[in-house]
Amino acid sequence: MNGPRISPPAEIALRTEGLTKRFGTLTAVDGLGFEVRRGEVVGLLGPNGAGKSTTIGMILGLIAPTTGRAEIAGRDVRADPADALANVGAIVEVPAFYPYLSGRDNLTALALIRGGGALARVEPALARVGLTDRARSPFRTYSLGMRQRLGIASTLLGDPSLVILDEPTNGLDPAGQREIRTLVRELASEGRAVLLASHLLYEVEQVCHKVLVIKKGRLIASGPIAEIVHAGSVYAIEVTPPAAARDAVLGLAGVESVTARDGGIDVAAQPGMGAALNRALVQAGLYADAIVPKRGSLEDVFLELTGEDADALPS
Amino acid sequence: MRFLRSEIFRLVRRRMLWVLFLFIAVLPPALYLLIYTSTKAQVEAIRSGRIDAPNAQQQLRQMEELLTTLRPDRLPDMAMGLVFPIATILVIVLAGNTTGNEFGWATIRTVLTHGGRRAAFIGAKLAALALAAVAFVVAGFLAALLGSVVVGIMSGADLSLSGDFAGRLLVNAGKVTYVTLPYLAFAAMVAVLARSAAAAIGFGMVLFFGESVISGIAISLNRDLRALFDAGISRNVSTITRASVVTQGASPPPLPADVPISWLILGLYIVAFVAIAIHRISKRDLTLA
Repeated sequence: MNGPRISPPAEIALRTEGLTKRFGTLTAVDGLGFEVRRGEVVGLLGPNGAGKSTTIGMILGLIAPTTGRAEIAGRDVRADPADALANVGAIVEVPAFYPYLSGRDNLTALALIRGGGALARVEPALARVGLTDRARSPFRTYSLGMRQRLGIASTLLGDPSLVILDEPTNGLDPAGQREIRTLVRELASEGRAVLLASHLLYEVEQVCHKVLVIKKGRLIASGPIAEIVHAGSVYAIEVTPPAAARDAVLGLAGVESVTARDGGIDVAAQPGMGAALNRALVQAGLYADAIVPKRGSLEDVFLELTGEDADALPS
Repeated sequence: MRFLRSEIFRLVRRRMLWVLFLFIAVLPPALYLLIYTSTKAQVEAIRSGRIDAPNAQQQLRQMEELLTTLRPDRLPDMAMGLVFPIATILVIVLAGNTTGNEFGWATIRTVLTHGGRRAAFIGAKLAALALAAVAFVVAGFLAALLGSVVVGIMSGADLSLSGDFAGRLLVNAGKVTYVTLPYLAFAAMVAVLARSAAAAIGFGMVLFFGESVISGIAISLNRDLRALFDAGISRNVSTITRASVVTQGASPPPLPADVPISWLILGLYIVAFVAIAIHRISKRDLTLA
């Protein structure tokens, strides 16, 4: 994996405990518990309707949890929203700003709410996302990419310990996407925690230290990307006859499934089982032309975990 | 105070606010000129015999009385009658638009993620709108003063002012501001409940224009309903502003509630509307879809 390395343990920026939200009979989020530490970039993944936006809404105090709680920098979001949210910068889905105000005035209006040194951070935030030249233009004239940039700039006003970004590269061109990925890494290197919900699994793979995979409101996998991806290793073995080879390895400890195909078999197994598989084949009198460990991508693992087909990637 | 500073910052940068100010700066003098020129023309037509009016002398007296109400020293009462409906309409439009669009633009989510309690957010918005209402009324009274002076010069009337002029002007401006507040709070409450600027403005207008009409019809059909409508906004607004009815040339009708009770009733409406808005916005999930 190309993902960045972190130096845990660091201070916990976000903690959720048993976070649950029910809308009538529908359970949108079910007992979600996780932590995000300062310096970490954590990806939040899940198919459409998995509960990602509801989770972010509860973390930000926009949606009241049915049960459970979210703490930011040790402060309960529901009980103490002002202090808790003072440590957060967030964009939620489409960045929403006042259309009649310029980009600069939008940030100023938000900085006035934050108080402290937020006003002094307006210009640096605009510069950091490359919007200084268009800062005087009304928000309604901004392209989607510029809106995203302004949204990201708004997250920096409070010098937050936690930054929540929901699809931050949506609408950006490739160069803009790269800039945002660089910015996300910088935010983490400055000691901030970043929770990143993204459509783009390769983007998550590039910038996140950890991922949280949720499905139907439940956390179904979490941990460092390397661990999650390795957990689903597949070996492509070129050997004939495939049926005999399948029988030879099927009962082996650590083997999860075997699929026979033309010219060989694909074995889903624990990482590091190449030699054991080879030994089992030899003992059965079969000699493989090649045993190739195929490293699964995050996308493969995501699809496997969530049981989604390729048309239902996270959104 | 942080929310209030932000609200005022945003409000003064809205072009809509200044368009509304333009309305209230232009309409009172325009109405002064319209009333003066049309009444003057009728007086001259009756005097010259071009209009054969029955009870001509009585009509002349009424018109001349109307012309005297346009003089600067009668401004405090006259302006109250002119400024109240204009200011109320503008306040309904501004409150409905400013509050409802927070939901329409989804900016309420952006703002609330920057900290602070929801009650503080809506409280600051209402406070900023109330300041706008004060500004509308002040602008309306100043515009009416301009119209009065212009008409006074045109008619050659005495422009001197009585000693209590400033005091009466301030008191009546205060009354007009106060009676606009229930409509402001109502429009903001509807905007929060319906999450819609259009609904807030629509229902606000229905309340402002419809209540007195509906109450009149209902009471004519069933006199027992009078007590119900006496507790309405419209009747109590009339009680407080009835000194301004001089332009109608007739004595105001007897009103059921005395002035302090009317102030109290309107105050209760304001508190109730604000409380409902705060309660609703505090409990509502600001869902993201």
